[in-house]
Amino acid sequence: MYRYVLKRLLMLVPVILGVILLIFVVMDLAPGDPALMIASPDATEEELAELRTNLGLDKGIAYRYVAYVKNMLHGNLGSSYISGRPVMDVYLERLPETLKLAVGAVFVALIISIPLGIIAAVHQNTFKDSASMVVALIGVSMPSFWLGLLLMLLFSLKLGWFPSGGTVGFKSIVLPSITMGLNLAAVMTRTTRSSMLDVLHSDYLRTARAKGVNEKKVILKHAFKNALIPIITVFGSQFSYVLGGAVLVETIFSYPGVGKMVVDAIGNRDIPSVTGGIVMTTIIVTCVNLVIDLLYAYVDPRIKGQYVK
Amino acid sequence: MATRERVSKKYAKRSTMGEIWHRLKKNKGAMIGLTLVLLIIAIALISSFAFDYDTQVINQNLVNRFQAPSAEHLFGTDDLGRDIMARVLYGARYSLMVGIVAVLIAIIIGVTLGCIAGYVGGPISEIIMRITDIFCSVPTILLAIAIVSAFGVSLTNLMVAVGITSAPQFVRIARASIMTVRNEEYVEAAKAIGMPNWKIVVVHMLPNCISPLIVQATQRVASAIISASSLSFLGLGVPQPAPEWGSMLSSGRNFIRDYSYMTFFPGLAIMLTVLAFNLLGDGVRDAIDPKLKR
Amino acid sequence: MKNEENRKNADAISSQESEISAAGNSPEEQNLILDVENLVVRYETEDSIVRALNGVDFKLGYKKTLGLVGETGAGKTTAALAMLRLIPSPPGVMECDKMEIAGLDMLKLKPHNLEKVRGDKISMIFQDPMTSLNPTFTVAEQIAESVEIHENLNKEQAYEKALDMLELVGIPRSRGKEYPHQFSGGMKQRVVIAIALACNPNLLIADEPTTALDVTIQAQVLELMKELKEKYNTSIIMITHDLGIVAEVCDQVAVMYAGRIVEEGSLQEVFKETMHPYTEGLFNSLPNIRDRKAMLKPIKGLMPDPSNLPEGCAFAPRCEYATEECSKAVPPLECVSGTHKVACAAYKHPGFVIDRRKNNG
Repeated sequence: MYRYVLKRLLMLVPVILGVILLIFVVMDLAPGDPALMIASPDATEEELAELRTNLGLDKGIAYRYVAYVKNMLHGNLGSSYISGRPVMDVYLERLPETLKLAVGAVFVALIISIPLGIIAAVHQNTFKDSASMVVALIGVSMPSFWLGLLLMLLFSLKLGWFPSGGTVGFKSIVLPSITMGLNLAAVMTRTTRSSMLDVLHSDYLRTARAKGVNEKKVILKHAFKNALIPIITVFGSQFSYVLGGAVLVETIFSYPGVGKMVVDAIGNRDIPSVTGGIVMTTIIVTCVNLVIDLLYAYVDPRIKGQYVK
Repeated sequence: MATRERVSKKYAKRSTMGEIWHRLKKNKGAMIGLTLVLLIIAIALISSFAFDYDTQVINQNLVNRFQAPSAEHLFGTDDLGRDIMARVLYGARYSLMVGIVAVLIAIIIGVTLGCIAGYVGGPISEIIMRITDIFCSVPTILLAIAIVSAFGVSLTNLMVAVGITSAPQFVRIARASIMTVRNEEYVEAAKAIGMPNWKIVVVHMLPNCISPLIVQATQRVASAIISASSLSFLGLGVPQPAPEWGSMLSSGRNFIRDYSYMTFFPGLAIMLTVLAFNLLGDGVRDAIDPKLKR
Repeated sequence: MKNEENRKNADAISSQESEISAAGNSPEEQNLILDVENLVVRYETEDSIVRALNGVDFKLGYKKTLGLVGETGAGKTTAALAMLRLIPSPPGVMECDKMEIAGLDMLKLKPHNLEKVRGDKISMIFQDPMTSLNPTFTVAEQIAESVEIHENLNKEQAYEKALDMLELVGIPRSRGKEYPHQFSGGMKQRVVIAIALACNPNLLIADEPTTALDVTIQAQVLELMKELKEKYNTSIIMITHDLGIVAEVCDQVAVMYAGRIVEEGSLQEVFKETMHPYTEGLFNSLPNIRDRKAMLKPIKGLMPDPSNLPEGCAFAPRCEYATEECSKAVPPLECVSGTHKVACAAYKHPGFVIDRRKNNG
């Protein structure tokens, strides 16, 4: 089992290097002279040239890429053109905030989607099913930034239950988490339903009933455990969207997470922050996907068997 | 026997396309989606004629600012006095254009790379798939943000950025489809008579992946529209003062407390458009492969 | 707490049983294990009504084996599911005059009591072992679950008993913690048998238990079932289309066609004194190993569409001996001699004999 984990971790490395290369190259093409941005307005030409040399801007892109990677291994993602602070520090400061939102979103999504999906599948083609699916479809089609604004309008500005921005403790997490979570919930409800439907026609459920297992247990224990695998798969692929959606949601709610960091940095043409933010977020998403893949093996004994040889 | 004739008549007449269309028609949700999509396309087309861009859509009329929805301005006016309904209806074109063109770009890139990867195999396939994985790993919106901020904010760049982020799925689908038929005998036969490789792929293998491609394409249009409006919301999409729905939401955001109608209608437009494509996409998927249908 | 519940329900069930035993001999020996009268099952869908079972009776005694024979679509599996009250209820409608299993009135029991009965008094083995087991639980867990539900044992004891059952069916105890995918088809079917017999049911319904297995495994599984029947005094309904299996394990035979029983009786009666043309057709379609050059003789035509059954005898369109009156009304199942019954209008004419009997004399 450990060998498998190790193998997967190693396979991550080229992908991550590739991502860094991709983002690095793309951002490098961005117009603008960093030296001009950093230096004070009345800097002389020599000072600017010296600054450029210090930033390594006079070297070729390959050199700078390698330097970037080497620095990254030491935890150095460069410094912000605007604030001068190390990008890694800022990122790590803001990461927990975003993670709080992500966890909240996942929580909201799971408590809505799993029961709703199961109910829709068990009562297939009845009103409960159609109603759930219509709601889920609307949820999937709704842009998260619009949903966030509507929630903010209702619960924050009109009703005053929650703050509309900043971090004042638990209450600030509620609306952003719900916004991110409802979107995820809609997708997961559809997935849960379809996965349960696949399983509900299985012969082993008939065996369970013939054994005398009561109907609730047949659905929740026998059927659901088998439905979990596709659900986990989809959840894994959706996590990337959850973190991506943080960008929009944090902007709306002025929430100081890594999403807002990237957006602000873009506005300021703060290339190291943008690069660092995107790279780090991608690494996190990739690692989470790996963990979810490994989770599979626990849920499906057939897969576990392949790796515990 | 009479029964046999009647039965075979009922089923014989339809070709595959006919079958699919027939199933699609029976699906109420899909038909609603299709109608809505056509309606929105019609709105986009008509708006070009009905509204004069300069005078009605972007012309500022500060006297008229912040008017609540009324008979004269059904959706109200915005912070610069412009009629919101005109802007919303006119704005349909941006979402549709980006959605459709981006997916076309994605298909062209994706299918080409996927076919190469699937047909040639070996290290080239590996490289292409690794690159696809890399593009896939980055959260879509972040990648699009990076591309747009690198190349500048414009409609074209928006379409290219969204197209690139949508391409990986098509690479995978194309490659998988090609690989399923790579070892078929008719491929060998075609090679034996000296048919050039590209022709083999296009004529014999591509038709195999049309179904999953269509399904993916309709679903991708929906997500492309959301990506496009998200980027516009962040100021990285269609530049102001164009009435793109996402950017309208963004400017409306500042006034949400008192003039919420500025955010309501553009957002509703996005949702309805995406809903329409999702309905249609679901319907197309069910019609093409009824075995997947519940 | 669960054990409390188990006991209460067991009390409710056994109070019915004690009434029976007050009447004399041990309940099992005196009464029928299975007593079903006029079982009708139809599936009502938007387009049509599928009439799967059209009035069948079953009576089976202690430790007897009934072979239920017929082609695919005859209604055999439906009959089995009906006896377990597992007909899916939205499309399925079940009507029955009487259904008693081990003395219990199955028609009156409420759902949670039915759950007590299933797996305990009556259990079922299904056709395809490859899909009958839950892939995400170990085989021992699946056997133990049945034990836990029906008997007053805790988890560890139930698990131990599960391992005992595994040994009984010829699987080493140490394999109890493995998952279904790690077993072959024949072994999976043994596990299924272990689950079915774990709580010592009075009646076991085996729905084509060996059809999906190859012939050598088939022989092993049949041997096993015979052994367990002896050991546990179980009555068995063996559903099959394979007359060879019937000959090997059954005491009684019922031949089904289009949702009705067309001929039934003891093994001897049905095999040696065959009366119904359909039964004759089944025997004729068996290849004759002694005459390898002879042409195979299938029954021409197909079984009628259960949503569109003909007015009269369902077999008439395919029957060599059919006359006009056969298509007018469904012939009732009538007693010919002793336990031998047949549903064929031709026997109204005295002296009517089917070809098979002519040759055998």
